[in-house]
Amino acid sequence: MSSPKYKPATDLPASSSPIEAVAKTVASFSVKYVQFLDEDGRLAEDAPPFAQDNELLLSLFRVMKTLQLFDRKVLMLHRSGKMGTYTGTLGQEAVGAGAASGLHDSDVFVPYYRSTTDLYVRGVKLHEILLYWGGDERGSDFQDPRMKNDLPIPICIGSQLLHAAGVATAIKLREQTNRAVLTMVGDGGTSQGDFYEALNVAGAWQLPLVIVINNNQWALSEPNRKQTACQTLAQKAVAGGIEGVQVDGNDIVAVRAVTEAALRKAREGGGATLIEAITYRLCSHTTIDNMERYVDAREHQQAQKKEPLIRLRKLLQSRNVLNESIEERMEYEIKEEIEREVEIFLNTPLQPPEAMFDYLYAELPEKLQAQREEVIKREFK
Amino acid sequence: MPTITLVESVNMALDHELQRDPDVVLLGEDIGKSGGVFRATDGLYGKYGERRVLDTPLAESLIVGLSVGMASQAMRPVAEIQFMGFIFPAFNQIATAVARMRNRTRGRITLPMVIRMPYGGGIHAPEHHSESTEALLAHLPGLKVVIPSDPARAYGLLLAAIRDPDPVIFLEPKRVYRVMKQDVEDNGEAYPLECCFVEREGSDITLVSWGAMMHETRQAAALMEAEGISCEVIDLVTIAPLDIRTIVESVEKTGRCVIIQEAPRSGGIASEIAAELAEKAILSLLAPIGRVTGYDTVMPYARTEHRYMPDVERIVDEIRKTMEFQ
Amino acid sequence: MTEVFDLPDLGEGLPDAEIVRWFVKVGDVVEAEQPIVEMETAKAVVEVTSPQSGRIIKLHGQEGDVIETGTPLVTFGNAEEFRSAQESSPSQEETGETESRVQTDKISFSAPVVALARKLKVDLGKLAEIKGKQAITLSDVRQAAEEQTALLETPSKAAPVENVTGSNTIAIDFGKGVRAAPRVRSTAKQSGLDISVLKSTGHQDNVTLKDIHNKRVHRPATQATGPGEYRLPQRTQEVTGKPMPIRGDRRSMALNMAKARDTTVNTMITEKADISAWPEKTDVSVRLLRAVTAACMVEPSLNAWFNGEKLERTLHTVVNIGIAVDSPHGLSVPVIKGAEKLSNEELRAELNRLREAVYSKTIKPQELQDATITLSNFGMIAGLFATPIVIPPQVAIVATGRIMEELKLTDQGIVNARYIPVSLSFDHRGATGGDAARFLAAFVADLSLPY
Repeated sequence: MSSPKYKPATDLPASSSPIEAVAKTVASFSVKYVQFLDEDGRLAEDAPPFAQDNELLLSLFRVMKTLQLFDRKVLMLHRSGKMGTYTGTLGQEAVGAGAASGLHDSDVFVPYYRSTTDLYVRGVKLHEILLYWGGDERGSDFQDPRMKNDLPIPICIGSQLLHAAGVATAIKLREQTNRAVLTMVGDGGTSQGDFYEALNVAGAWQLPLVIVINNNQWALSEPNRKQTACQTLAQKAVAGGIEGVQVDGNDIVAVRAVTEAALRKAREGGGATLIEAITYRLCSHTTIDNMERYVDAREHQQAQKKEPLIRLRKLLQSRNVLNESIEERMEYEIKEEIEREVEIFLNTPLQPPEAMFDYLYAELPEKLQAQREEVIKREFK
Repeated sequence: MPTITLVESVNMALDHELQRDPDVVLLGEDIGKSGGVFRATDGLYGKYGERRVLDTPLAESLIVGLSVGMASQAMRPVAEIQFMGFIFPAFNQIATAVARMRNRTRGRITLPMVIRMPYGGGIHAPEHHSESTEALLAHLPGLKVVIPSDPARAYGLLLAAIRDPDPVIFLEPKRVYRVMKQDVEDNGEAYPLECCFVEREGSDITLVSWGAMMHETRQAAALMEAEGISCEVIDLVTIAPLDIRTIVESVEKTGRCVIIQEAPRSGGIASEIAAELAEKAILSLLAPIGRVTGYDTVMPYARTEHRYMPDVERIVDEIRKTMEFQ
Repeated sequence: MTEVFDLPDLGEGLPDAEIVRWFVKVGDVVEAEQPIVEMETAKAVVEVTSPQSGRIIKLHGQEGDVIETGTPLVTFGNAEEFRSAQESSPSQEETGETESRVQTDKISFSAPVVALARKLKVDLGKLAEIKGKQAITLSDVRQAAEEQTALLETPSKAAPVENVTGSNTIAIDFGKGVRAAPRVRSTAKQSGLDISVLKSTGHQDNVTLKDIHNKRVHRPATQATGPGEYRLPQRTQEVTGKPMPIRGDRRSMALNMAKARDTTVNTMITEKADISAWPEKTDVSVRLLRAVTAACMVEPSLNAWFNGEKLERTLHTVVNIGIAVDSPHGLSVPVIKGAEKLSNEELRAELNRLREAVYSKTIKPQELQDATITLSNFGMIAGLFATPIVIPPQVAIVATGRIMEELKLTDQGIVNARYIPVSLSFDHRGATGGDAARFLAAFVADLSLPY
């Protein structure tokens, strides 16, 4: 921005301006940062009790490992023409796994397009993910009964935040205590108007809503600093009048602890929370993007050292619940699961041609009947 | 049976549904104590309270986005957008979520919601308060777009819209909010959304219109009747999906058709009807299909908007031209 | 001078407002912008201020009255006008537009029920009878449509609709209710034909271009409605009563016919071909073309050209059949070439192509040349036998009449038989009577085959 050409009315130094002299602070804010597990695998002493639950941590480790292997597999499928565009989650597994593992079955989850890890934790099968990104609407017809009220993956950035606020409004209006809504958004999504509208209404109406920002530093190719002048994204909560907190997004203990607390607060009527999880996108934006065009290689290398599995592996190894052979066995099982799911995806027959009409309205309007018949006729010509 | 205006019948329908179904919730700007800028929700806040009649922050995308979330949990939100000219911040939500959720989830999540908004010109309002952009919405598969033209239809159609399992855009012709009164019984009977209304039978020419323009169309039909030209008048009512069959059958009988719309000429509903008639009724046509429409320009501001608006004279001219075609 | 202040629109599209309280009375002198009345609109209570300074000589309503937007609220005037206004009795304000009300339907079904019944083709009268009640609901209508009860009887397809007459002065309903494409309508109009009297053969029972050219009268344009009311049919084309030059096809026909009569020895022989064995939907034209071709094979003397000056004849190796086509512009004879090599389907396709080319005047000169024999099926219009004229250098022309039905005595008793009357003309210079009779025998023999 260029500076104004006219001369300001007063050219006194700001510090001694008369405005400064009389101004009083009427509100002040701070943003807290939470980390329990550092990049060397050291757990803070005052970590929450679940951090002692090795079985839980092992299961979370397994989830993150599954997603890492799945990401690689999907890329292979894409390169061999068997898969459509896919948004990877490499490096960001702790955000999704930590946040979604704090959900109760009765809560509602509103995903965004990089929610594969969160959806997997919530109950989505990998073949459903493959169907969705492979070009089949049935991927959003989540089969897990716990997900019957969860919304599907939206492509339009930020639009889901208002849906989540709407779901939270429904819960609040129906006075359903002990239910909350969790939704996710990328750091790019925080530039959207819908993001601010959602924060605003979440505060104004004290909605039972938790918004987790997966701050992976990149909105496709645009780094954070180009998107905002804010020091943190968590501070945007201030404008909505809700609590905002920053966590180490590569620390699954911190993500889970903070999200769980925010969900508990929401269920108990305490209102909404914005959580900014700091992480790093170690993959390209999608399978058709090439991050080498805009990512600094050294920065990328640095980020790789902080990725979430390394530190959790160290912790679990130090507790003697994980070693190379256990992890190898785990990897074998995961690969088996992935292969199974890929087979299901590849062997799923196409939907019948009329499917493009049959889910548009509860009842097919007369005007569409001829088009529906045509598409069937052409298919079986 | 109360004798009421169109805006009062909207109010009566909202009242009826709030009473009948606890999942019905109204939301919008200034719809609470103020009763809405056109008083469509007058008295409902007092009667049902702030949990049923929600004053929202001033953000249209929010109003529609919230409705999506609420409807996804089987509530029946009825959102009010203050003027149709303010729909654009919400257009993303309408196009990418409202119209698609059922299809996106293969029927797992449905959106039984209504977005109400006053539309159309002729009320001397500021910019953006007078346009008729129904075609933008009608073009989106997955939506129903409904426009009543009189108090009785407004009541019955709004009940149907609220009870419909799919999202309905309900456009209220604000110019005729208060110009006519009808006896409308608060009987809870919803009108069908799958057909247009042949409100006057005729043999020489079919006139098709909707919303506020029905007012001028009816007057033109009455004038032509006096000249011995028998007009069949069709109120389209449901703009999308279109009940083209009723129109085709009428034109097969009369052989002529004039379509009257307030919206600009190109790419509108009138164009769609004309195209359908060209495909399905060309063998019965005795004259080219006529259109009386707004012009393909930005709606003039209040002082000169009358030059833009189709009026009875323009309709009568087009009917004569069509009748005289040899 | 009096000035009337009309009630302005106090909101956006408010049609009227109610007078709550007058702040002034008749005779008061007011300043511009002084509040004069409090009005309640549908949206709010507002104070209306005076647009000018002056004396008020009339208030156009009392408290509680509703004033329509754009109608007088107060009248300003001078002292004299004030007095005269006082003297005249207060006149009743004209009432504005009457409220429009829903026209109750004749049989008292609600508007949505009528609309849905119309769309779903349900007869409400019948339905009310079946249900034994007057109050029919939308679900009654939907149910009836689903169960296909009480359905409206569909009107017979494309029944010609009587022209709307009477007080309607500007509409001339040319072919109303008859299905026809715009081009067909305009062609009919140019030819002065009323398409509602034409036989329609299109896929949707619509009148086609071919129907116009065939001009087959489907029913009289004007029907006698009772004894003594017979009226002559209307003229099907414009006539002037003055000599008009002829051009184009009609002109060449006139010249060619005279020349043919002057140069040939036209001799005619007739026969009836029994086609009772034909299956339904047999393509008459194709069978005629095939029979001509077959007869040319049996008796090549008639598939020939005769040169009277050099006294030589050419017996052709190919069968090129000239087809007499009657079009609005006159007679034209395009030629199907090499008929002996064409299948039935190819014959039909070629015939269609040539006919269309004649109608649309896109026929090429070479497509009108080199006929070795001519076929005329005038029976498509009317007539049994004729005296066809051979066009030199050809030797023969076959003409077929309208298919006729006759009782025929057979071994099995009396049966109904179908015949095509055949007239064969030949140039007796180029062929003998025997040649012609053999040709004719072969022609009818081929026609009488079932396939």
